[in-house]
Amino acid sequence: MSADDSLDPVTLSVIRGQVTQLTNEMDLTLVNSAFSPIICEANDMASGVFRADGRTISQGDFGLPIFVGNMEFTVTAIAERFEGDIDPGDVFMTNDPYVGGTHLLDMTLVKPYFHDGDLTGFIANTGHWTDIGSASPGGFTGGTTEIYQEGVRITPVKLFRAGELNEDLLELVLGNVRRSDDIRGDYKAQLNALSVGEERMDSVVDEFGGETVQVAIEELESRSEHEMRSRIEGIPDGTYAFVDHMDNDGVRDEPLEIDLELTVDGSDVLLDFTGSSPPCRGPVNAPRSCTVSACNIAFKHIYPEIPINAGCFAPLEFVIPNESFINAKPPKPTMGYTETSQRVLDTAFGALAKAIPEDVPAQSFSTSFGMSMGGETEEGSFVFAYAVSGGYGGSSTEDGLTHSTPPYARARMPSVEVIEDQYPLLFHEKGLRPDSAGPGRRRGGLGTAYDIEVLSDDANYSCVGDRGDYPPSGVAGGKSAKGAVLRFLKDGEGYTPPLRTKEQDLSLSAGDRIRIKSPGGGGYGPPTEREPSRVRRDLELGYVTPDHAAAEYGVVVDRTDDGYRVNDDETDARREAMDE
Amino acid sequence: MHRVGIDIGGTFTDFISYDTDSKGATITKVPSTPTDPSTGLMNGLDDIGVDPADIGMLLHGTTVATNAVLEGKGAECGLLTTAGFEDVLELGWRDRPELWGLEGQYDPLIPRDRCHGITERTSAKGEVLQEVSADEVRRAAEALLDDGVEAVVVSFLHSYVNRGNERRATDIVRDLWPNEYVIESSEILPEYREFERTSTAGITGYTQPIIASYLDRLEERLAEDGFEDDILLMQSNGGITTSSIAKVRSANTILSGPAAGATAAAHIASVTGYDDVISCDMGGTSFDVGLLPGGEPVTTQNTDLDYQRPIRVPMTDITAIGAGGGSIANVTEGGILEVGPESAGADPGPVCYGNGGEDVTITDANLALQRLNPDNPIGEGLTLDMDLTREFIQRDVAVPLDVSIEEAANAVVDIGVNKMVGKIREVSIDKGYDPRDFTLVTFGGAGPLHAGELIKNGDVPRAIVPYYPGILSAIGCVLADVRHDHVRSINERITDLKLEAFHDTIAQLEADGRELLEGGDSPVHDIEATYLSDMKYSGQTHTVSVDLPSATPSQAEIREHFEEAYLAKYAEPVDKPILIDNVQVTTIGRVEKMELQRLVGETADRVSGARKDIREVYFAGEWIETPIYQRERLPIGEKVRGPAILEQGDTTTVVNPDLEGSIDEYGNAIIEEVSA
Repeated sequence: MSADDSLDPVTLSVIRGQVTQLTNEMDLTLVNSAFSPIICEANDMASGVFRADGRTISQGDFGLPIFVGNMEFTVTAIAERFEGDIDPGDVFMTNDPYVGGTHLLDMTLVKPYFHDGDLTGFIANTGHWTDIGSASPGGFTGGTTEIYQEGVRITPVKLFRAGELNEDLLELVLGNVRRSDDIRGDYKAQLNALSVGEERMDSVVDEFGGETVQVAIEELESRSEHEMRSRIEGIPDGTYAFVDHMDNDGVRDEPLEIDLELTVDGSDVLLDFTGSSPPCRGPVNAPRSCTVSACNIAFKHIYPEIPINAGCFAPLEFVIPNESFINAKPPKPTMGYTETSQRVLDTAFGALAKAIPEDVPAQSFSTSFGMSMGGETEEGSFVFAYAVSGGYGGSSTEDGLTHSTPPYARARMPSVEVIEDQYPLLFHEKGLRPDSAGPGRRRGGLGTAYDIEVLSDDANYSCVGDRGDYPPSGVAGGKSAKGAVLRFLKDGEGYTPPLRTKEQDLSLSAGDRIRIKSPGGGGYGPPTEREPSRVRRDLELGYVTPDHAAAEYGVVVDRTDDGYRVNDDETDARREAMDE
Repeated sequence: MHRVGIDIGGTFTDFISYDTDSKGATITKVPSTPTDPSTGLMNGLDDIGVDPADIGMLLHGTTVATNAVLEGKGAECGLLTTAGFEDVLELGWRDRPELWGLEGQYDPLIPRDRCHGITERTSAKGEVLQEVSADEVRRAAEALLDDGVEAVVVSFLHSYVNRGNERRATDIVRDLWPNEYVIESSEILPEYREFERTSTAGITGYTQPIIASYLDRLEERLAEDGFEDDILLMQSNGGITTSSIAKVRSANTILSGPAAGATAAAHIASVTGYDDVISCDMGGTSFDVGLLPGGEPVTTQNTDLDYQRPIRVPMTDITAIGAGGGSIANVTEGGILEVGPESAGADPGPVCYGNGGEDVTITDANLALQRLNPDNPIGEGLTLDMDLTREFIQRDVAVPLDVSIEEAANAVVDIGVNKMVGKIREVSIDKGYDPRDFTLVTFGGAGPLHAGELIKNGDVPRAIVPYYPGILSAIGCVLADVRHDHVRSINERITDLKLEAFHDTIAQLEADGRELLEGGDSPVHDIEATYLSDMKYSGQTHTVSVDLPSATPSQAEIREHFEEAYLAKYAEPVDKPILIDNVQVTTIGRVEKMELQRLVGETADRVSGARKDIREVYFAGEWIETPIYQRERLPIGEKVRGPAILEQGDTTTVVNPDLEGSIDEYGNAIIEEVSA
């Protein structure tokens, strides 16, 4: 078949299915052969297949969307930087935030794919390494001011040259990280996944021929672009502005601002972030690639049915000022990009909610609250990494999901049993946080409460959280959710960090407790329009307390032997008063 | 002696009785009786003329548990768990239903107000940090009883390493609980990860009362009639087990019927010479699709029955959508025609049954198109009411859509078939298989009715309609081997393994399996045992399944087999201690296979000799004079040109225009495009 012949639709679907399947298999291979719970239990990784110029062909269903979004930038940079010097058997390695990376903990391996001697694409994956040699174990340090404090930065390098491992380089890297034994295992899991990707790609190419596969990839990309453009044409033309905030940068106690003007013009969208806060001292700077990826993800969530590839995002253009904390330059620290990128996504949702409120949910909990803790026990050293869950925003059609994964990611949560098996920790609580959901006709999902006891006498705790001062907001008359709360029980006394949601190098010992409450999601529509029967069911299930039901929803209940009964008269009166 | 295979579906209960002496077989099909499925079963035995006293082996597949979970109609269930972790089921993994889109809702199988925390704690190393308080357990159990709860699950943290607290609490509950439905999580799944274990135990609790009360009643009734052996049940893994095990391990029967169907489809396909098969079982409520590359069903231990509904038992990999004969057609306010997933079930059933059903279904549409023959009843005692059916289609579909009755009925079938084609694409294309290389095996009461449509609208070039397509799951029960899986947790490094004790454990597990297989008048002739261990490198949390070479492997052999299995799966060798998680012994008792050719009865000499009627049938916009054949009379080696309708006792096969059906030596009809 020649390149300009169009493909029959079944072949096209089969090729698409096979490429998706191979990225899924890469995901599972990486997860199933990894050693650190953050990957093997929480799936903090992603796999992707890219064109020779770096554009995304496909990504696995189990990985973090933000990683694949960013890998496109990394692969593109490698394709350009090493042009003419890319050979079969090469494997590139990088965690450089300024070259399409995220933060130093996320290590990306990239393998060029050759067909008949020609470079036709790249296979890549990213895995969250439990440690990268930062000042504090595990890296989620709330108060870094330079990237050099955050660990080893590996600019794109050839780890394998034509199949030959550069052992010196590998040992140099592993010699600078804690728990290098486990991380060596995770690195091998990443190599396993690249091998699977390459093998499966070979069989796709063998079956259909390299040229047909290329034609299919181009066709799929142009179809996705066409579909996305037709969706965007459905958004009324205009400029929609939204501003969101972060609590602080982890060093100075001042809020940061993300300022977006989103302009829809036919099938084109311009996202202009002019006016956002300047680069900050602390670690919540985010590279430009993360800001772009976060906005791409927002659009993809609103139009989930469009097959994912680079074509989806062709209609989006960006203005991101060089002098802003969402366009980080060396040597600004980026460990907390995890929070910033989520706030960028929220900001994009906020602007779109003004244009198409029926299609956009209220804001989600949107904080990973990335935390890490290292130290010693009798059995040796440990490095623990963890993140929280929370509620999604309510939408025009339904309540928000409870205990979900950050919208920009899809990492799961390791089970309590696995964590306690591997780390000196004892959980006292992991449960829903009543009254945390943003009230609305359709309420948000609930946040989660954690109470974790430290069993080591020598533990060092750091975290980068957010959404303490600026909780997730509602849409169309819906109310905000409850924000994040971090407290410690330290030497028997309560302790709240000065910057509330960020902390660095807090020394904890056996018996101390870490207590975190994560935000719910924002509400959608006026809470007084929520059906009293739904409020009653929420009461029965303990999602809300009677006081909250009365104060926020205007629903007054009487307790009976069988549970709650709505007091219709008092409810009507109260709601009338509230609506005035 | 008779070997009787029975499959209870949502709508019909199917029977095959295979005479192991004469090698002959008889079949029948009776309406299911959902309120007490054993009634339908006894009716069928009566109908087929087999005296329970003459049954050597009664093999049984059932969707009783499946339907309970999928329709949310299981037992009222409660949970006792470690205080602070009452939300274990509701929290799940921290996931959303789909990668893209933030929509979705999640209802845990056990609602939050029935999950009680108990003050107790065991550490990851198995030390009891806090003893369980008997009073607290009692109070919680009593509160659940007051609330009308029938089954209670006890699932404590780290019970897989030390079940002491969990066992104690379970015993306390059992002492006061009025029935047997008290489930200890570590008994069902002695593995870590609290959500997966509690979910699997929860599904067990949710289905146990339903399966157990059904089996108890059935045993009683069969015993009255002289049947004294154990009832054998098809399990989700494609093997057979005893009813006493199935009552406790109810979660193992979740895919019982579908696994039986896939087993039979695989066998028929391999005998006929088509290796890559997609099994399509369409009954009254659902359309179940299984991928059988190389004729082998794929089994998985990682099934999620739904979003955040994991069940960690070995199961045949089959997925279902709500597109069965009883799936209801509905025109939305916006004027959009929708079909399923709601089903009219067996009672009242489709409008055409005349049992008071008022919702138009896919079956009704097929009747209106005259693809189904009103005078050729499906199952005992069912005649179809054409006038009533047309009246309802007119009222509920044709008028709102402003089309003729025929066009309305055609649209209902079209929408249903499109959903099926989508599902077939999902299990093939989305897994990287090209459907054009596959063959469908269409069965179930309604599968063959849509075989032609699936070929014309989908990507698979050919469909096999087995000789008895309406009872394939029942046939699968008769074809399946008896299988028992026994697992024990080991949790030791190879280097620390006490080899003698390890061999003793394997021998004990094998003896347990053999005892079950050899008990009674077992028809099993060959017993095979296989041994496997789930193993990993120290530090990993996911395991690799390793076949052990014998019941007494040496440490060196275990290591060698692990490394081989690991490197077959992963490219990179690892230099770390190797951990043996568990050992599993599978004992399989081979059962003499029924000879499929012997099912084929007397045929006509020529195709025309099988022709029994001609009637107008509606295809793609027009009524066409269509010959009607008696399916069983079609001669082997001959072809039937479409349009044609092949009628038989338990189902109807439609051969659309431009298709033809070839009859092979096993009586299968192989439907494909007319060959040039």
